[in-house]
Amino acid sequence: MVSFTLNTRPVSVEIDPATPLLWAIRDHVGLMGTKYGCGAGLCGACTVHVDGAAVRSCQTQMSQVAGKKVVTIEGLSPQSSHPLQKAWIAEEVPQCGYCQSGQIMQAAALLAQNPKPSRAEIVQHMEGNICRCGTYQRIIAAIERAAREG
Amino acid sequence: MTIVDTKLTRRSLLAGAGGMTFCIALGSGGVRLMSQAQANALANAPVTPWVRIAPDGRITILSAGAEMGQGSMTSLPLIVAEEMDADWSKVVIEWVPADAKVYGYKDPFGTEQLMWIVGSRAVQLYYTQLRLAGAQVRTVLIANAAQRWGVDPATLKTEPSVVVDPASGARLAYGEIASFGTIPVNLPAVDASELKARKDFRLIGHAVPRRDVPAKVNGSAQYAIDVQLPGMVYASSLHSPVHNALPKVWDPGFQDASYARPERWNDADVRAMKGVIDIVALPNGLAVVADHFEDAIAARDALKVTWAKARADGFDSDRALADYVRVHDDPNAPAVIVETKGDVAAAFAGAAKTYEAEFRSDYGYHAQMEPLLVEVDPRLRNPERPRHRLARLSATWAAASDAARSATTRPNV
Repeated sequence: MVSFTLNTRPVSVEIDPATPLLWAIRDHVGLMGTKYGCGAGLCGACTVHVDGAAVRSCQTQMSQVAGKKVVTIEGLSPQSSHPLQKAWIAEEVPQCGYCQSGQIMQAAALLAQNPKPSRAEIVQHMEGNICRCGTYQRIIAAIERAAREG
Repeated sequence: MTIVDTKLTRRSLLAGAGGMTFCIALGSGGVRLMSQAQANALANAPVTPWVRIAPDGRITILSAGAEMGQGSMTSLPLIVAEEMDADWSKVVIEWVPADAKVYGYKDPFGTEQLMWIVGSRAVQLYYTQLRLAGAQVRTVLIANAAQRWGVDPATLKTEPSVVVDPASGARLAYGEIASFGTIPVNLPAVDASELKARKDFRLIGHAVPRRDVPAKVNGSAQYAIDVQLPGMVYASSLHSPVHNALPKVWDPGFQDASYARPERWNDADVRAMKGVIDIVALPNGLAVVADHFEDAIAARDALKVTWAKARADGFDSDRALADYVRVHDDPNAPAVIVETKGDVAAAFAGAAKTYEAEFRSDYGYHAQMEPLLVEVDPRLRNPERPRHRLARLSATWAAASDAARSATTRPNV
């Protein structure tokens, strides 16, 4: 049994402490917005926040999140109101969309630390998140828009 | 973003409080609109509503465009809405069920109806039929307004979701017409000459936001991997790291699971792992079935399989690229001329200025990020033919468990 906070809700999951956080979120709690891509920490599709920091949930064991605060794409904002989510729609970023929960969570961690990042800082921060549709230019534009429009 | 159950769609679209419903039924030669009365008269034919106008003005249009980010699920209903002259802000999109006999376009290279959304086919191959269908709906709406006003339908015009009489200034919204209107049993025929002129398009060719985007920024878009069915178990398959290498786990002449030899892999060890239900031999690998996805993956990773030799063993992509360059640079290398057009050598010789550059490209991983997968529901009958190896896994497993199981593939989003 591992207990932690998931999107402001306290949860306890009957799970092996060595299991990746990703599976607790998806298959035990049933929040499907966080995606399984490579399972090896190479693509970023499973990115969530643990105590405010962006982490790859497929590489984070349950034992590491005990007592901590985990936020997924579903808990980022009420009614998709986070500036990044609004900017993502305005720039029509997603194509297939499979990587975008991870992209947005990765970007949200950046803006929380650095509300006005330079383009170079954005590119560097987002480097580990792969998009197979190639939406990178729009991802950068959306982060710039969110930083500008708050 | 949801997966549509035919019966649910029928219920939700037919059950509404009044309104006008246009149907589609099994046809040959592609999708064809018909009245609900005509559809109901077709005993036992698979008939499904396609366009419904509710008295509150809401217009529900089904989309056959499997959405992979290319915009098809928005584009196809948009084509219908254009010719209907519908107010796009009042259009709700729902998925059609996966039934190519009803919803497929006519295969341009054959006689079947297909729903393959591939190679930019969706808009090209549905375009004309969807326009004609939309125009038929508009014609019916105009006819109803003309009858109410006692005027010649030819004198009426439409604005988005409104029929207008320019002579009197009278207006009737589509929703109002839906509350009293009737649909003739045989829909009026519309021919291509009656379709809108390109310059009059309000939607086609204009920047209209894709409808799938909002669900893709908050985690609510449903992908195949997100589907959860009651009592569902998970399987993960192990394939050779080299193309076409077979595992040494069968006797020669492999045809079904009975040729598998569990003593040739660490069967007992993996079966003892948490949550493992079964290990299934496939023609090209092994698969583990387990209670949870993470258990299936962990067990698959623990499999120890010896792979047979494959033709691709030892392939080195760097060396292959160098080989291509060498062949390219060798004027005496054997070559096959595929097409000849003009005189390239002479054109270069006569050019005022020439440029030279070298471009090389690597082997790219041309695959989607969502792992290839399939949901198998033993309750489904008449499924799509299983097309890939995971579907074959289900077939193998079904045979092993001696249950009537079948597979279906689902839309990606």
